[in-house]
This record gives sequence, structure tokens and C-alpha cells, in this order.
Amino acid sequence: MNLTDLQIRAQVRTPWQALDLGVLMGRRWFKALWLAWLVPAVMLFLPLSVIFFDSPWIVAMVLWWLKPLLERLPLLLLSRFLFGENSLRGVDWRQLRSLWLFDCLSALLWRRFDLQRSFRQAVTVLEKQKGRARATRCQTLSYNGGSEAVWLTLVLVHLEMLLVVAGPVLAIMLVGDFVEPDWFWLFDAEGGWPEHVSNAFTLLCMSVVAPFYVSSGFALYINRRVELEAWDLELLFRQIASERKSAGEAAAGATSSVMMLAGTLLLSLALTFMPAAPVMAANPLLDSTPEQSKEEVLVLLEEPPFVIEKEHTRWSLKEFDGVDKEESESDWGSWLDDWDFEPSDGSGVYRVAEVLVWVGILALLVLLARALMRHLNGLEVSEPLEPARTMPQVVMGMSIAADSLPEDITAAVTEALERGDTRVALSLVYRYALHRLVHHHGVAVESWYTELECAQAVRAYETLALEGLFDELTQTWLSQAYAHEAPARGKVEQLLTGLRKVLS
Amino acid sequence: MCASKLLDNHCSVETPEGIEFVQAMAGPVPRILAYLIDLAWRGLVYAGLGMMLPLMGGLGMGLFLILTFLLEWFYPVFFEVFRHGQTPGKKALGLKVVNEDFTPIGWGASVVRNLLRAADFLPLFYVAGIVSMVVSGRFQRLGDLAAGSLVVHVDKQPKVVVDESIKPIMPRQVLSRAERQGIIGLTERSMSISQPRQEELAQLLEPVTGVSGAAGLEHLKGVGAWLLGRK
Repeated sequence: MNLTDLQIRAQVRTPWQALDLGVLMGRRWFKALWLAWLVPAVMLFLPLSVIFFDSPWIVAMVLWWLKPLLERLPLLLLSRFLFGENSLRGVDWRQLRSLWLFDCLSALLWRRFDLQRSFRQAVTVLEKQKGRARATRCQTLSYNGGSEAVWLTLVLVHLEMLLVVAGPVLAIMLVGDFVEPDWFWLFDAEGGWPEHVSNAFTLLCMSVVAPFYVSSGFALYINRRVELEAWDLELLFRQIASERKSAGEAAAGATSSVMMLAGTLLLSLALTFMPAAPVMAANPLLDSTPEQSKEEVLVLLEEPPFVIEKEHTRWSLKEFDGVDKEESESDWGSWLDDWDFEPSDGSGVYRVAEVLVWVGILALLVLLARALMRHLNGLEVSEPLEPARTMPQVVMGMSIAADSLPEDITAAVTEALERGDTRVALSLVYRYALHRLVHHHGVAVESWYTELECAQAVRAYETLALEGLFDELTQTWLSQAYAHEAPARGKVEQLLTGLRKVLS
Repeated sequence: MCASKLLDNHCSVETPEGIEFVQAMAGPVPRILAYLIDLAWRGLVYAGLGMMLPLMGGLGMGLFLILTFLLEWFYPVFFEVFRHGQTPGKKALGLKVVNEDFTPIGWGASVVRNLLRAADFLPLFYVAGIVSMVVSGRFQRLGDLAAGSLVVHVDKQPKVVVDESIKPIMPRQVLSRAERQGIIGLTERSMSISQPRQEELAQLLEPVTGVSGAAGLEHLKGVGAWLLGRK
């Protein structure tokens, strides 16, 4: 079984859709499946008809009863067609005999009326399971598709009968009114040729329906296996892996030649320092001035998703909270009235109710107090027991690991500023600050945090005397990263010295 | 339209804008069952009318004949045009009638496909229709072929349930659409696939995750949760 040879598009379908796929399978390989059913059936039919010439109903009965066995060869063929193998190569007579004899007694006796036959046949014929193993396997499989298998059997049983009746009816229609023989000799005649002819026609109808019955049941079975064993995912993943591999080889070739040409360029140096800089990569499309961007943003903000204008052409009542309150108060008052001044009718009931209410209130209070106690205790206990967290090495796609930062941060920042690259300088400061905060001062930051969430986490960490320095850095960094507003050089340096003082 | 060599029960339509729509065609078995449900509903109505109207004498008989005629010929038309292509039976089976380009069916097509039920009915109980469905490319009976209509399965959006204990992980590299779909598929179906099999699958994606074995699976599921919007 090689999944890459699968002849159907691997996908988890609903059981109904699996039945439809089964019809398609039956259609594509109809001739082979039909012959595989019909030839053994005819080989049985002819001798039986000779033996039981006087009571043809026995022949029809026997063939009908042997249906589970007759369906085995088409199923075996189908299982090979499904994986692109269009022959019965390697199957000899011994195997064919075991195909028909395997577990045949139960298939013909107590499982003859199993309505899920087409679905479960595969477990017997292809997986060669019987007894208890077969039962558990069938149970797993029929969890999704079992009821559809029953409907399939019910529909096709009737369809078969319909075909058997439709043939003669069609013949009558085509002959028309010119001849008026007694049509009912077909049904009246007992024994003799007419009944043998009708047997043969019934056999033909059964043989036409059988391939679709087998293939639909098999499609249900395959669908379940695709679902349980994720055939579709395996095929997809294999394809992805091979694509990645070839793409990786191509890219490796390309980058190596570029590196040879431009190995010493500062650009590559900067790239290695910042392995995955998401927003600050030099993007020519974003090279508009801050003023232009601001104007564009203002125009955008006037438009629908941000401003929703609604036109109301008729008055509608506002909801007044006050009215509700008054109503409920008057309700309360009348309830009290009943309570106090009309004790004569059934005051005992009210007494009991009163006691119950007080007991309820007391119980509630006790529960509340206990919950509070537990909560307080829990707080005391849980605080020192907070589990050790793993510190993220990458935040917002920027590496904040120690080895990703230069040894001498001040020198690196000054150098970038000298070059006029404020963006790189500021990103270095920001990453340095995050690195110190997370790895040395244990600020709880997760890799998926945004800038503002990071700032919030830092603010919550009150033991550091940052005095808003990190917030300021965050704001500066945000305007640089997303709005391309470069800060003054002095500001970057001031932020760096301030942060170094507190953090190192 | 179903160009792929692989067998599939889906067919697709491409709009001039280059957008591809895919629908699953509905085959004989669900359609027969849907028809039987409709037949049962109509039978109930006939029984009700048959009991009530004879009380009105000759007028009742006339009314009964007229109503039977209307119900027999226009019951499917009414539901297909006014109820999004779904008669009660089709709704129960999750089917609907559409034009061949997947647009909602209109009066003309619906009347044609239902008048031609007479042809599909020959010689007995829709045998011609069933044969036509099995033989034609997209499970169309004669009426469908004439009207240019299709019966398709209605897409149901399954509810996405992801194990809460999975910790989201941001993917380390840009993922293509197929990769994202595959990873999400694995994450969603992790309840129904056995653990060793999942690890085997994750192993295949080692070039993407960079980790192998159980850790690779964990990573993939984390990425899946991240892609599904848990951050």
C-alpha cells in the first residue's frame, strides 16, 4: 500500500459524500467489478439451474444467499484499483479459495442479514480479521458511517427490486398496444423456462447493482481510514517536505554565490545581528514622509470600518432605566404588604418560608466566608510556589538572547548613529533593554507579547526604579518602527545611558 | 470541470475574477432518501386533504384534485425558489439545488427540472433518473441536464475545538497556504488520530519544524494553535 498511488483525492468527507465517491469508483471500474461478480455467479447459476430444473426458486434463493461471498472478489479488485494496481497479479487459486472460504460460515449464517455488510466486508476480506478482533474493529469504524451503511443497504435492496420489475414494464411500454399477450404468464407459470428466464434477469439486475454496493461500502471504509490514519495529511506533508527540500537547495545555491560577491558588506553584518527583524527591514514601499502617512491615515479613518454613519428616519423610544427601577420597587413593596398584613391565610407557610430564607442567608454567608478564607490561604501558599518559567529568547520575532546582542552595546549604538541609521540603533537599545529585563531581572514576558504588553509587564515589576524610562523607550521605538519617525540622536543616547544605569 | 485525474466527488467553478468555488456533488443515495422524505410529507398532506375535503361534497372533490395537482408539480419548485434550493427532504439530508455555476436556482430552471420528473420517472419510480444520475458526470438526472442544475451538499463549517493545554508557538519561518492548512488540520484532528501516528506525521515535517519526534509534534500543534488565533 503506497499512499502516493492513491487514485482518489485524499480528504476526510462526510459519510454521505463518501457514498457518492463510492458511486464514482463503481462507475470508473464498472466493467471489471461487474465481471468479477457476474462470472462466478453464472458459473454457479448454470449447474444449479440444471440440478434444480423443476424448482427454479431454489436457484434464485441460493444465489441471493451467497451474495456476501460473491461480493468478495470485486472488493479485492477494488482495493487494488484504489492504489493504481490494475491486475490480480500474484493471486493464485489457493488464495482465491481462501478468499471465499475465510470466515464464510458466519458470513452466510448469522451475519447474512447484517445491514452494514458492505462497510464491514472490508474488515473480513482485506484485514482478514474474525471473531472478537473483527467485532472491536467494526465498532471503531462504524462510529462514523455505520448508519449511512445501513441506509445504503436499504436503498440498494429496493433499487434492485425496482430494476427487476422495471425491465418487464419497460418491455411492455415499448411493445405498446399492438400485441396483447397475457403478460402475467411470467408470474403465473410455475417451473419451466419462463421462471428460469426471470431468474437470469434477476441475476443480471443483481450484478448491475452489486459493483456500486461494494464500492460505496468500500468508500465508507476508506473514508474512515483516511480520517483515523490521516492519509490526507501524510500526502500533504510529504509534498511539503519535498518542496521545502528542493526550495532549500535552490536557496542555498543562490545565497552562497551572493555571499561570495558581497560577503564583506555591512548589510549582512546587520542581518546577522538581527535574525528576524519584522518591521524594521528596509522596505522601499514605506519610504514616505511621516506627514504623508499621517494624511493618508486621517483619510482612511474617515471611511466606513472606522466611521459608521446611520440614518434614522423615525423616532424610537429610549430605554429608561429609572422606570424599571420604580417598577421593581413597587413589586417589592406589594410583596412586603402581602407578607406583613395578610398573615391570616396560611401564615404557617410564611413562617416556614421565613425560617428557610434566614437559613439560606446564613448558609450563604458561611460559604462566602469559607471561600474567602480559602482564597486568602491559597494566595499565601501559591505565591512562593510559582513554577519556574522558561524565558523567551525571541519576542515579537526579535531575538533578545545574549549572544544575539553585541558585546559592547554603547559602541554598537554609537557606531549605528554615526552611520545615521537611527532605526538600527534604536532597535539595538530596545532589544538590549528587553534582554536585560527578561533574562537578568526576571520580568515575565512571553514570546507572543506585543510592545505595549511588554511595557505593561515591565510596569507591573515595581522593584526596578525605571521611572517611566522603558515606557518612553517603547513609545520612541513604536514611532520609529511603524511610523518611521526617527528620534533625535541625543534622545537615543540619553535613553541608553539611563537604561544602562538602572539595568546593568 | 472536474479536471483532476484523481477521483473526487467535488466539482469547481472559476469566476472571471479567477476565484475558484468548489462544491461536493450529491449522488444517488442521499438524493433518493431526500426524495422519500419529501414524498412522506406530501403523503401526509394528501391524507389530511383526503379526510377533510370529501365533507364538502363535489366541490371538495374538485378542490382535492386541484390541490393535488399543484402540490405534485409545484411543491419542489416552491421550496427551491423560496427556500434556498432546499425542499424539507433536501434540508434534512444537507442538500440543495443550484445552477451549474453554483448560483441560486431561479423559476425557469426549477420549473424545467421538476416538469421533467415525468421523464425521470419512466419506466417505473425514477429508474431513468437514477440511471442518468449514475451515468452522467455530475450526478445529474434528466431534469437536471435539461435545466442546467446541480444538487450539491451544503458546506457545514465544523466547530473548531482545540485542546486548551497546547501552548501557542509562533512559526519560525514563513509558511505557505498548504503548510498552514496541513498544520491546522493536524492540530484540529489530534483527538481522532493515534499518538504514534501523529508523531510519524510530524516527523515528515521535520524540514519545517527543525525538531523530530514528540517534540516536533508538540511544536506543530503549538504552531497550529497560533495559526488558529490563540496567542
